[in-house]
Amino acid sequence: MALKAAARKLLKSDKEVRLDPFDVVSRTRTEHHGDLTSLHVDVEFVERAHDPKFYLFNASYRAQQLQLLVLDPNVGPTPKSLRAEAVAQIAGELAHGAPDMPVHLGGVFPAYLTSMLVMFVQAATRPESPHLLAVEGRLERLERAVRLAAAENVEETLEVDWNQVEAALLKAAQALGWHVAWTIDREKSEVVGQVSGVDYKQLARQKLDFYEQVASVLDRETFKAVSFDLEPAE
Amino acid sequence: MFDPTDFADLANQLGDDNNYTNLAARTRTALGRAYYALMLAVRVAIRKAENKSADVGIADHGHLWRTLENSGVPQLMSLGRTLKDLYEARQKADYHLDPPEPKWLAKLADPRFGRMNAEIAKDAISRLPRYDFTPVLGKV
Repeated sequence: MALKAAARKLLKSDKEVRLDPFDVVSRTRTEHHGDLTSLHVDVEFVERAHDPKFYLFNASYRAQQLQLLVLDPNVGPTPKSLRAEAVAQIAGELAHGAPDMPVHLGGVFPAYLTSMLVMFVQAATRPESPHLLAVEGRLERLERAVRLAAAENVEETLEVDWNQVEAALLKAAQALGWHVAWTIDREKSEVVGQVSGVDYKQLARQKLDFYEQVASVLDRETFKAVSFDLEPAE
Repeated sequence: MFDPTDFADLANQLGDDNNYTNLAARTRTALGRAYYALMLAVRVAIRKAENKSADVGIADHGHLWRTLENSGVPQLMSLGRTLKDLYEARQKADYHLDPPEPKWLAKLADPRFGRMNAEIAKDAISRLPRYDFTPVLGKV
């Protein structure tokens, strides 16, 4: 029983402890914004905004987090003192309304980065638009078309000149002093030669010579298109 | 440096050694060693001509014999074709446990076929010092 109660308590506490990704972003922003603002090309664009803006980070203010709200007392056309006063005023009002709410002011680049992140999350969770579905459909049709084209006769089959091959075989057999019974399968482009009077070892040592003889007569593509097999005649 | 010819010798011994009663295992192993003997020896010869380390690899097996076959030089074309034959046998030996072609079913369990390929590899290796690899240098 005690164990059950402890487990229930643990589950309850787990439920309460939540990691807020926006809070993580806000902390990162606070730590690094000073180094990065001057390096980012979009900073100038954001800084040109006329209206003072501010950033809110709190789990209960999701709607506000979707906006790019920037307030930096050190930039913009408004005199520094006035802007600083405006910041203090807004901060005070917010703190008054929700004393526990962490308020982060300033930091243009991290704010921009966060807005990009929010847009990304929105885009990723948005149901697929008809446009995207149409693109996907086109890609599928394209894939089918490519597969169909590949399945068809993409590789050109070489028309083998068998008279040339037979002449090459005759010449090779004469040069090597062989008595050979050739079996030619034109459909499979296969030639099998059964060589009399030689054992496997002799035949093995003459195979390169045979290929050289044939290769010197046939054109390169025909040589590549036909397979040759040699066996000692039993 | 290890001499790839030793692989061909091993392939030959495996073909003869009746202590190994499983003919298919003997033959298949011999076919693998025969191919690697010639492939490595050809690679060494090419790398030597390129003044590179013998261990500089080649993108894929087919690339080597295709380049030789496409050289247009009968001697190198023959070498490429021989390498291709040994490669095909090695592929069947290593990956095709139940080849559908009756020809291969018989060959892969015949130690004479393993010995023949080992001899072919040895013979080709012995000729390599006389070959001019200039047409394929820098291509593999």
